Amino acid sequence: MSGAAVAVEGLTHTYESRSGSLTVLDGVDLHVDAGAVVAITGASGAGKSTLLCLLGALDRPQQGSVVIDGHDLSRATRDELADFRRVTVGFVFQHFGLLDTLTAAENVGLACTLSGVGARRGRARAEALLDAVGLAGRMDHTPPRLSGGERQRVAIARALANQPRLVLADEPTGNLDADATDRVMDLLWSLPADHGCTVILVTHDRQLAARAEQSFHLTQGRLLLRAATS
Amino acid sequence: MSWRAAVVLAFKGLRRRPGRAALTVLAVTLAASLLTALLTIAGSAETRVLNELSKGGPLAGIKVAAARPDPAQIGRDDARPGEPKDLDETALATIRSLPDVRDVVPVVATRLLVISTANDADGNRLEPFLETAVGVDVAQSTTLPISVVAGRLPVDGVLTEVAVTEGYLERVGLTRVDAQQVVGMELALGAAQAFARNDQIRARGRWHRAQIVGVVAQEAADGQLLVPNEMVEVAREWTNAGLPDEELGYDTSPYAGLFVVADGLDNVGRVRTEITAVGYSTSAPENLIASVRRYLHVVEIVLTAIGLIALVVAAIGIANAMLAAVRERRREIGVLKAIGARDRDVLRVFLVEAAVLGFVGGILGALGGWLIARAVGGVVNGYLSDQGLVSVQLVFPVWVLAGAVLGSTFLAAAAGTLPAVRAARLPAREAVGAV
Amino acid sequence: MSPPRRQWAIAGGLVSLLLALGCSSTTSVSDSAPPPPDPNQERVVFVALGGDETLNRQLDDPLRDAWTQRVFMNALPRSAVHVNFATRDATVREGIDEQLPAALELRPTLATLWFGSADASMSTRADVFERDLTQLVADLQATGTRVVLLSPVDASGQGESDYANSVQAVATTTNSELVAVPTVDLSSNTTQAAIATAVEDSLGP
Repeated sequence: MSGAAVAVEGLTHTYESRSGSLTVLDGVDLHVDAGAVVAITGASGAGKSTLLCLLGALDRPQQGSVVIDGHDLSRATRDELADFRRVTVGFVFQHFGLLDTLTAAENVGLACTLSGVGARRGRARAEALLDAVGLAGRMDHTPPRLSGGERQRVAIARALANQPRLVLADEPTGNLDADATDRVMDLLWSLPADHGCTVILVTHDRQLAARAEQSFHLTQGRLLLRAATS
Repeated sequence: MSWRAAVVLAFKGLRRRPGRAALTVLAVTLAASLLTALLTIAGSAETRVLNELSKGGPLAGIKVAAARPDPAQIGRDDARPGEPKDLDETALATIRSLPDVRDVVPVVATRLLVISTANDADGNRLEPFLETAVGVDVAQSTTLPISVVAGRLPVDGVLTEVAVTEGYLERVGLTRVDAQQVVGMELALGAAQAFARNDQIRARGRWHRAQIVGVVAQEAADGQLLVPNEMVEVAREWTNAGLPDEELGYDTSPYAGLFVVADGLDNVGRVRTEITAVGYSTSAPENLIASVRRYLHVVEIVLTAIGLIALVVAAIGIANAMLAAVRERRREIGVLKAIGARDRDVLRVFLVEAAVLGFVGGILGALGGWLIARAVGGVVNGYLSDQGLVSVQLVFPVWVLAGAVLGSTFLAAAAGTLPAVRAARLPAREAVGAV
Repeated sequence: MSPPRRQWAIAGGLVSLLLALGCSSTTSVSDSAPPPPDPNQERVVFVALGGDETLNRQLDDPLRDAWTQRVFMNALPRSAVHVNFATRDATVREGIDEQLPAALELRPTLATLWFGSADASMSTRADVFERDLTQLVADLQATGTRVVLLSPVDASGQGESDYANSVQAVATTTNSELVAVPTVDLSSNTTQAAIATAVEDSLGP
């Protein structure tokens, strides 16, 4: 099967502040097969976003190991983490994360540009991806002129720009209505088959989590398997 | 990320807050305008002042008299000449061959009797008077200390044109302000020749007429008439064909003087020493020019400092605006990093943003400074014109304009460095807003 | 044009404008010089030969008021040159021996001759006067000089000089111009002006 395999062992992460330290992840273990769709739920402040950051190489683990597709992220430098993110990971954020001054095509093409792809090829790839997510007629629109659902589809297209092996979605439907939610979720679920990547999404919506092959619940710093369909 | 992509992103980033960008650019524009205008005006004023000191001739000009040097006067700016000494072709060739001599312009002179239709200062008919006519190669007038006050210089080879000096204006009761009034008037000029008849010395005059075409300030030689070389040579030939009589202008020295241009201000002293060794008296405003240049240099430094301070203030504004932008765009920066931008990519984008603000402000500032300098120049020249003084020619050195643009760009980029570094160091997790 | 290209175009246009303005570093004052003199226009060289009536030292301001100066300044082109070779008490013979050689060096184009009073004092014979004056005129005409002979007349227009007939005869023989000039009170500016007018009239436009 294609996609990245994820192996997390003994992951611990603590935040220091003036009022003291806060351990949000306390020895978390997680194993995800390549090409799977996995959901992680938890209450607000449970540490879901922190876990997503560490899985996506947005931060370096303090304790424990995170191995994505055979790459151990615990000893990587900042540049190595950036390179890893560019090549291997695609992000979908709750707040969409699009640049308002760029068009949909330019937002998707930006990811290609960072990989050194030429402007023409980048544009062509962006158009193909936007077409795949049903936004062929919205390529030259800037985010303020798109609906929430359309923006999130653009974000998904951008996440797929560099053919990642792992897509991480942080509350991807948090700001969407029901119709848009269904559409986005269908899109995310199609990614392993259509684009050969593993999908890990963080959500507080249990109904959405129930559709995943594996569903985990993060509570008190520990990750518990809730359900598995495979 | 390529520089091209960084520039495109930077422009897009500036468009997020067009008002803030415009205000920042305005601050840079004002500062660059001030700097450009100050330096342009200072440079033009320096040129004007030095031009005044050199009486319109080159700064490195040296007057050589047809006289021996007075030992007590050697080295003085306005050295008094010693005993007369003929200045001939041999001397001219010797001086021309001296090292560090760039050019030598000979000056001839003769005495002429002048009949004018004008009245004197008291309103009476102006009596004919004897005056020295200085003959120059008009084609080389830019090399000589001659500046036109009104009208123009005589045309080379035209023997019916003459220019007069302010000394002539005084004779006819006019001031520099009224100089234009004498332009167009006609003079009758007579070269005298002494001859003997019946054991007595008589004089006869060779007369010709000329029209005053201009009023000049000249330091080429003492004389109230400035004429083409040929006019003096014809008159001298007539006078020298008669009996020797100094009062009538009889003069054996082929040249009344030379105007020597040294190869640079720094060589003026050396060339003067060499000419003194050849045996001729020299004068040049070298000490005065050196002093004035020192003072003007200080003024230039002060004005530059004022302009630079204004630019620094503008740069601080850029830094402040960029820091605010970094704070506002934390999530955006995080997203950029999340999709794979390295720290240096983010640094590049923000540095370019700052540099663009400085570049645009610099260009507008250079343009604004040019306009301000022109406006100030117009006002100043209007005043000078009312006072009957020669106007200031504004000079816009390319280095000032280019310096304003490059300086603004560089300073803005420097001011944007700290915010750019902060942006670069932001953790990628800002994309998800993690605690 | 896409937005980034438009911005580059605007920036490029601004830079070009700035460079164009900056390169015009000085303004200059142009001299409105006249056209060069016409080389085909022959310069008038006017010489005056004669005695006291031509020298006119008795005037208060001979350099302006003498008839020779008036003719030179009023009737001739600006490019004209004038020398007055007249000497005190000059006879025709002295005119030939002393004045003529110096005058010929100038290659004159116009000459006025006024002799008679000194010859009268020396009691020169009329035929000798006529012969010498003829030689003087001929020598001048040989070089292409236009000769104008001046002959004094009284208030009634009658020839005043002892040699009036001789001067008339020389003018006829040599085909040179003869101008009758009034001589009442040569010290008066009016008389000088009248003499000048008479000579100017003979020269024509």
